[in-house]
Amino acid sequence: MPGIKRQMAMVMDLNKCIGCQTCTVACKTLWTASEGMEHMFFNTVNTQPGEGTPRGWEAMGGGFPGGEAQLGKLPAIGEFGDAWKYNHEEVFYGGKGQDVHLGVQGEAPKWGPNWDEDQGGGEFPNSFFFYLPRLCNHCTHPACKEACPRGAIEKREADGVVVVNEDRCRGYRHCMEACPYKKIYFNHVSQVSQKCIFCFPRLEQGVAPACARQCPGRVRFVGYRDDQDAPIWKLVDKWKVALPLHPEFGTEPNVFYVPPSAPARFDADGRIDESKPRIPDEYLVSLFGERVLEALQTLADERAKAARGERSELMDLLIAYRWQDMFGGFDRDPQTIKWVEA
Amino acid sequence: MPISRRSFIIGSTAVAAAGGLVLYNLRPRTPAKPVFQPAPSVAAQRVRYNDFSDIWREKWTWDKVVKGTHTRANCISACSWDVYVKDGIAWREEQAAIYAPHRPDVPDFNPRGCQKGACYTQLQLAESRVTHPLKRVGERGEGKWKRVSWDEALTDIADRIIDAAIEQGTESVIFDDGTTNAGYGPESAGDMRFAQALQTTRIDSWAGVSDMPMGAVQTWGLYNSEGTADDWFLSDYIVVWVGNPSYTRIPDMHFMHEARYRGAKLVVIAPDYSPSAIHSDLWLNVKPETDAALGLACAQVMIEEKLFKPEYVLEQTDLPFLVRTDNQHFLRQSDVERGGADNALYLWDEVRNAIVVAPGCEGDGDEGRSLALGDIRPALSGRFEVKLADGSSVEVETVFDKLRAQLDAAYRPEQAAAITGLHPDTIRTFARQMAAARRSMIFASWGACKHYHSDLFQRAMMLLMALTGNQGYQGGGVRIAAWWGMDGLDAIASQSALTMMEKLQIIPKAIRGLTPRDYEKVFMGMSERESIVPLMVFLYVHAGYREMWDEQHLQDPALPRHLREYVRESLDRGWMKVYPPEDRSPKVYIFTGCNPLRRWPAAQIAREKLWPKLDLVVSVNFRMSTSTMYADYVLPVAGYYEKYGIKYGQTYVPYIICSDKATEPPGEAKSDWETFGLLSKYVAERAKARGVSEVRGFHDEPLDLRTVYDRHTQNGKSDPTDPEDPVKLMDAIFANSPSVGANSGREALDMGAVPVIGTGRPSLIYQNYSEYDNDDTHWPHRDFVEKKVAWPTLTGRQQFYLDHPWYLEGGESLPVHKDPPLASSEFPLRVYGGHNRWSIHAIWRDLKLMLQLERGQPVCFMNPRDCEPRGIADGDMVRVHNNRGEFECMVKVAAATAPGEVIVYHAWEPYQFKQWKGPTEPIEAPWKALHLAGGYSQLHYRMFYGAPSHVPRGAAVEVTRA
Repeated sequence: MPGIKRQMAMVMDLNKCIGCQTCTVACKTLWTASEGMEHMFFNTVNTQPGEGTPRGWEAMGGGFPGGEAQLGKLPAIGEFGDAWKYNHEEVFYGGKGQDVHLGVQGEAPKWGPNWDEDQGGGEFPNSFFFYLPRLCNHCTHPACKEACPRGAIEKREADGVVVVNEDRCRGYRHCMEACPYKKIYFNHVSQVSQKCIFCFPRLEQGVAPACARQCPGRVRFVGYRDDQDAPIWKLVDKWKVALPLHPEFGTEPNVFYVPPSAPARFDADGRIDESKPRIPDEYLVSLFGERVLEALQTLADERAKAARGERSELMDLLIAYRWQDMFGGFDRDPQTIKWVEA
Repeated sequence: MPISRRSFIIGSTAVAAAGGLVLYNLRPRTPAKPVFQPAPSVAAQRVRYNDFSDIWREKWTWDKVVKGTHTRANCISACSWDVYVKDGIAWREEQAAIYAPHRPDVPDFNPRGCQKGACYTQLQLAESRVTHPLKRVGERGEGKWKRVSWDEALTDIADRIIDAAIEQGTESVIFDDGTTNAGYGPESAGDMRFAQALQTTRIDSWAGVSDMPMGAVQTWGLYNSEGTADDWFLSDYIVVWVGNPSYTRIPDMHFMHEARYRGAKLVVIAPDYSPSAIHSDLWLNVKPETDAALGLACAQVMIEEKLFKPEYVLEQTDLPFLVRTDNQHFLRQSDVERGGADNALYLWDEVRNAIVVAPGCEGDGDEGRSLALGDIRPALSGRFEVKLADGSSVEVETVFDKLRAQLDAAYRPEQAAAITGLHPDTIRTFARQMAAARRSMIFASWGACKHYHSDLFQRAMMLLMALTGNQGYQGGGVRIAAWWGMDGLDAIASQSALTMMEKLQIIPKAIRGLTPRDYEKVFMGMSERESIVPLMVFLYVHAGYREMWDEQHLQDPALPRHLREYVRESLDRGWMKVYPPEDRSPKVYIFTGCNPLRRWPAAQIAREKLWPKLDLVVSVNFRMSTSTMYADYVLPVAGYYEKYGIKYGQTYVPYIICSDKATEPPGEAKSDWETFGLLSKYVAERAKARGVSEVRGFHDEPLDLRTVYDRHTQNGKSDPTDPEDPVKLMDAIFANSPSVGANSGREALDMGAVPVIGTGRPSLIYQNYSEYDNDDTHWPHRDFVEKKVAWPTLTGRQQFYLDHPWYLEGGESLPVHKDPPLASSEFPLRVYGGHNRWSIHAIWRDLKLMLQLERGQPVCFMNPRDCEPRGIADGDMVRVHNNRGEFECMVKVAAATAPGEVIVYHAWEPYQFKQWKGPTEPIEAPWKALHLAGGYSQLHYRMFYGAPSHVPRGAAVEVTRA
């Protein structure tokens, strides 16, 4: 990879994600709790199919579809969902009794980072949905970096993490237009663009990113993309069951997904119908490309093998018998760090 | 869940009395406790600012790390967190993730936790936080408060408690901790001691929060049935039935998904395509309220196709027991012999070709200890003539034959299909797969008790796990819940639980080895000695609910009598108790943590009928809840990270989780231990100052109010005003708990997660009747199948036939499917729900971060097929209403929701709704009369165990655009 020594990567197993958003909250409390960042979620989880965050992001453009840079739309704060304000004080202490109730003040909310949670698609009883956690893909070919006239977006040499150099950023927001995944936010207080930093301060101390380490569903694998002894390489390159989201955007993401399966569907009489999957193939192909069908087949075959009592390296990897093995060596317990003055 | 002091005592007294004699299955193993070694720290340099990246680096620094957890949130999980303290503030938490695996071939428990736990630091300092004592100065609920000193608040509260006690006795003082505020440590000890020292009435809310698995009590005589969550990994067929663990078991759910990767099948039974269904192999979209029919149809298939395990059934169930065909009662020794026991029941022994008293039944002549059949070969099937004591003969048949006849008549898959909406082929496939799997389990979320006929669902589930021989085995059986025992919890209480007579009576039993039946008896004795009242009975008698529940449309059409007659009979026979007595009135209501006006059905009734009876309402809480808004005083307590505590220990994870004090509480907030200590102290001091001595206490026995604080502190043994007193209490708890690996309170606080290393002495309320072995996963009910201990039921078996007269007249002697009363309502839609993802009960409900990840306001889910004809679009505000009440919320139109359902997830605060009309206003929660039955072995009330359920699901409503 040009310009960098190694590339950090992540694999998320969508068959284990329960949509609890502990990742989202872990990230929020760590990085985006300060002023100007209230509406930011470097990590989000959305119910698919759905419009996601920002609303309708998949159709906003950007990236390099067909190899050519495409001008994308600049998402507005309302499309992400603003940090709503409430009237707690008035309700608790205002002396107005039942005439006021706790609610969003000002304009009624129309969208948020998880607005279409658990609604799903299809038609009952063949409804379907699954959860899709997202963060910056720390792309090998980052459209945001290319779009910045200030050269304010850097790909760190040590780990390939894509960061906004806030000393250089002037808030033009071309990065937000260019990123086809719309994972960059604008800080209206400090007037700079901000995004996921893959918890590089934690990586520097050997600690996995908060979203991964705090995931109770044990969904996320972390590590160097080229570490052949660790799960990432095995899942992405050896078993080929982890795929990038929207590969057609052309930015070469370094975040990969093990695609979801779903329970059997029903025919018109209510019989179990295994002739086709509950989640339509074309929908998964639209998200993960053609290779997704092959990946699903591999997963099904290996699972059948395990059910017969045979050993499956792939199933053992996904089970992750030892949680710390998911982090490619970034497995230090952060509470053991004692900060000393420089 | 509330932990009674008394339940802690049973075990210790018994073992003390036995003087170290070997008690089969009941003696704790006491391995040596390891000495705790904290992980070594690593020095890392703080940065000086060089460029932008150092801003990020500086964000992730801290001054110290303290172990914490969410002790009193009443979350059934227990997760150890590292609380990172920065500039004197608990800045952020991250899971401690230090749990060791049981076995090399089973995944570990790490990291646990959830998004609520991950932002408690925010909730602790959020807008709802209460930091100073408040006195109401306007109308109740008006939101007019005056900040007062602790002294002023406590003096007035104490005076009004004394006034009530003088007027109507201390039973008119109601203490309610819901179940929200229970813990294993000092945080619960305070309120427990206060209530006991003052002999208040205590509300038993276990069934009141709809968590009482009555079907389990009816079948097993107990309901604790769970092990460690990693045991799920070893199941081959996991059935999630009436539950949504993706919301409610966030730390544990991975074991189910990981089990799939080792080849297990995951089946989810739910009307909606629930968040737990999405990762299953088979989703059964059963129609709401028809789960018993599905279970019984599976039983029909298993029996017809001979897929069941006869050896297990003959030994572990009552299916071979003999029932008289003339009166439908079990054949009893009193029928057969003059002066025979009426609790000795019979099997037909194929060896002797004669009736034989079933070993292990309650009246087997050996105290019903062992169900081992010896050389008896019971007939599973057949009709026999039996000669009675009066010389006449009677025909008897087996429960199995009765069951089979009923299943064949009414529950063939084709018949069940008409009830459940599932295709008969689907039902057969499910039944065959479940029977064929090496180990099958049913995850029934805390028993799934919130439907009118939940007990029938449960009885059907237990029947399936019995037919397939799964109950009591690794990776198998119905899973509900269980607790870790800690013997040292005795220290929480202020006084001994057992009378001298009870201690004398138990010695000979203890020498032989105590059985579940013995614990049951001791527990009952203790339950009788306190003014504890099941919530539903309290609401019926004292809170104005009688009028609603007596209405005709809430009666079970299958019962020959009206609810009021069952209530009357139950109270008159003493099967149910009510405090204060029917001719007196509650005067004072003190609640901590719980949120009755949020939780109780049709809460407007309580507001209108109960609240005016109360001269004083006190809320002890760290946050402003709806119920707190209707209080006269608010006493602010410390947040979870601002006090010392021990989280109650459910068995999902083999650790007891402790919470250290990370920071001091803000403002004037005090720990619960100190707060309740001060309440007792002020009552005693004001009584002295006013010259009041004896008032009427429990059962009108005289009670000296001047010595309330002495009783509370065990005559000065503890000092709640000492900030380190809770750690001393924890010292006593851990030093006397050989089953967990910490030697002192301080060591436990440093560890955060204290490993379970053995089995605690049993208590009915915890016991899952399995020894803990830390080299293997843990699963319930091993003693029954491995040691042949008799189940604590009339038959000594998993009992599927109940010949209680009420069950016979109600048509529920065998498990059946029945429609709930509201099935015939004219209102077309039904409100369902479940615990929500974003809050533990209401505690996180108003937190901005959590609301930001929803729609910022209460919502309901509806299917497009119900929305379109009503002109409702996604995001519309709607009115959910019936003749009882209404509320308004936003609609989410969801393909995943079943047509006919309106899903409103749990625990929005009423103050989040227009006019504070919360989502319980149209919920009538009809009351199942059979739960009031008593006088029959396992069927009777005992505290926290076997009480009438609050069943909020399935309210009939209409929904219209607001």
